Amino acid sequence: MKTLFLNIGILAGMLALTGCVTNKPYDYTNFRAHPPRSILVLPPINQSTDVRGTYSYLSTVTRPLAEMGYYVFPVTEVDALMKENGLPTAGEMRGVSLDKIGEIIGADSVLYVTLKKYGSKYEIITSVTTVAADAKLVDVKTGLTLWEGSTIVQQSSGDSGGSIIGALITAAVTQIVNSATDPAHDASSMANFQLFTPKDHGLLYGPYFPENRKK
Amino acid sequence: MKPDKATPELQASPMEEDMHRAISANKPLPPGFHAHLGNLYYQMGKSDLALQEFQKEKTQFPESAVFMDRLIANLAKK
Repeated sequence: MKTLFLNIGILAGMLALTGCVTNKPYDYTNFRAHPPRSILVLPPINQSTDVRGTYSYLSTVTRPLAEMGYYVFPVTEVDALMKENGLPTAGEMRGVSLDKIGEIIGADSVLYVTLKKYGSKYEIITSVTTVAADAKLVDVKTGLTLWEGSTIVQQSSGDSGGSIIGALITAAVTQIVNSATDPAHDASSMANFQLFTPKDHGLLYGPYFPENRKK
Repeated sequence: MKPDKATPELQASPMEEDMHRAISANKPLPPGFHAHLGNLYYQMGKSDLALQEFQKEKTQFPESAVFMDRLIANLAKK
């Protein structure tokens, strides 16, 4: 009996240590009580130093949500409508009340995204691209939070062929290529996939998700 | 090319190709596709085509009705 308790103690300790990996499933009570059919994605609030962040990230959000079976409002048209109505920035758009969103767009839920990090950094021997975001899905009718999640994706230029000079050149070249093509855009796609799909922590499937593909 | 430098014409033609491919393969188009194409037609001055696309979006996804009706109303106003 003593060893059993000891084992449980060790197990509990291990669980605590690996807490961020094995934490308990997300509480979907609100989600199940108010399952949305449609999602309005507002342009993310950009806390990074790269001005491209908001719209680059926004353009990668629709696809994973649509593939999970939701109607996703066309982001360009929503953005244009907000701007026409005197809300030029993501910050001002976030201030729009749920009542107004229900009335003007007819969305069931709103996804608020905050971009914590976005961009590439040259770090002597590697060039690191980071995209980090927090997201919150809110029910338009009740104001309840249906789901929350966060994600971080880091990619480094890495491969250098061994020598330090090679490493420096690779990093510099990667950095130049990166500034021209914005790899954070691709990293954003990956970040979204990680954000919405993990088992027990991602979003639940929406109404258009084919029954036969549900796990 | 930067996305904001692409003209509506340049953006609409690959979407039209995608639409024809989807129709011939009998596959549904994703949410927002018709709405966005409609908006491009509107920017090109083709309001009648824009109206058709907004209505297709609404038929395929009834969730979009409130928003599409608003875009259709704006079309009539301008």
